[in-house]
Amino acid sequence: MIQFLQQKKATLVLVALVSLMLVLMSHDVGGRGGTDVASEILFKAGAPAMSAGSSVTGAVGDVFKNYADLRGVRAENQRLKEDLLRTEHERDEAREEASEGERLQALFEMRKSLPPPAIAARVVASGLASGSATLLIDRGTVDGVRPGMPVIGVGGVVGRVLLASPTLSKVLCLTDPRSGVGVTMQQSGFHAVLEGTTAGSCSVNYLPPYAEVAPGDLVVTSGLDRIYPKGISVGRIVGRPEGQGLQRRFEVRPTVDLARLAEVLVLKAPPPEREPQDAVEPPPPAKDPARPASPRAAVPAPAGRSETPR
Amino acid sequence: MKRFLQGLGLLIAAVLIQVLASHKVPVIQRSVDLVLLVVVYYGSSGARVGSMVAGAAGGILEDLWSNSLMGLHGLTKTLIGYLLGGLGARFDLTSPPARLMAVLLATIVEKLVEPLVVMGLGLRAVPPNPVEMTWRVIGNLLVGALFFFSLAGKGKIEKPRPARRRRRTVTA
Repeated sequence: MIQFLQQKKATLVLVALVSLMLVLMSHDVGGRGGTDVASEILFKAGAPAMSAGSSVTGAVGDVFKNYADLRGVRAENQRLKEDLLRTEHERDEAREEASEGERLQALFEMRKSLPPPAIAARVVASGLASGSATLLIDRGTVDGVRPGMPVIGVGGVVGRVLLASPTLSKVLCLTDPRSGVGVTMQQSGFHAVLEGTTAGSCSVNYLPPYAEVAPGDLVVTSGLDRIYPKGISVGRIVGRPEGQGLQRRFEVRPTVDLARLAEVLVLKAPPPEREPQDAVEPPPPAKDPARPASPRAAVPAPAGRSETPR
Repeated sequence: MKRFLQGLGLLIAAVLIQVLASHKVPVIQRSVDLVLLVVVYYGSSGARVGSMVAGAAGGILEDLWSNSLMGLHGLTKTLIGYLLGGLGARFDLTSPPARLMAVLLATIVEKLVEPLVVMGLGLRAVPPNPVEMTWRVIGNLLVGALFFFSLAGKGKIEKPRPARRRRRTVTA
């Protein structure tokens, strides 16, 4: 019997399983629409496994989804960073262009008030170290720039052309110790000489002892130096004077910010020829060794003075 | 016992993946039958009873979770397990290509037997759709190739080898 069962095991299992399936199917067909006990038991038995499997597959799916999202976020972040950099660069360029436009507009307005002709130039380099204040501009002899021509910026005097090559020119700023400008105190009308100092600023010298000068007074060109046209702003008095009497010196803050200068005007009008009665002896060499006197020869001495008091 | 547990784990994994993956990727439900692949795997190994039991259990679970007629897939897979188990006992179907041929045969048989059983129960049967059957064949063959080639040589159910004959010593 056992041997028979062993031999027919497969067939018996088949018959049993087919019978079971038929019973299940017929039961299901008969009670279609309802919930039978067997299905409920099987469902409840399989539910924990399905729930666990769902959790596992959900977790695995979440891991992959998060990874995919993370990769996307990383790429998107990189792209946004690049966009931000590009936008910032464009914004800076736009700001610079706007600023340049404003400066050029101001320069243009100023040019209208200056004696023609004048040519605009860009500052290509500057040497504003202590003890020296020079600028390099991108105009030279090809453009008609000659040494001695005044250079004006937005706000006032910058300096004068010291050297000129065909395409570049060197400008001696008014804060350079070698520089000198004939100036007038706008409020009181007294003439004086503005000189650069080694500290990078400039000072008004040779004012009469009785001249009343207050901080904030505007200093303009007098035109007596035969270099700068008359009436151009140079700077404002700051602080209290140093020295007494004729040796009073007033510090002046230039109206042009030389450190941030980008565009200038070179006045091509040649300086007026000196008239015989205007001819004065150049001031004697400066006693101060820090102040070379040679460039200052063009600056006339104050009226009625034969030598520069130091 | 180890083989039983191995088969049970494989079957449960197949059902879980089938049900849960079908929820996430609906095309799997239409194109792949993982329980059938497990039945083919055991049937082609020559384990006739094992493949029938796997088919019955997997089919019932499939019916239970797919809300189809309870026992329909159990019956068809039991028959397939019996058929393949018989073939596997007579021929060597353990190589992956042979198993893929068995998958092809089993897929077609299942799709043909299902409407016949439904009709036998007096219900209205939907005739097999050739396009649907083609998709199922392609899906089963692709997943089956992955499955069988990755399992080739691992945990294979070897057929019992015939006992070696003793060499007769010839005495002079």
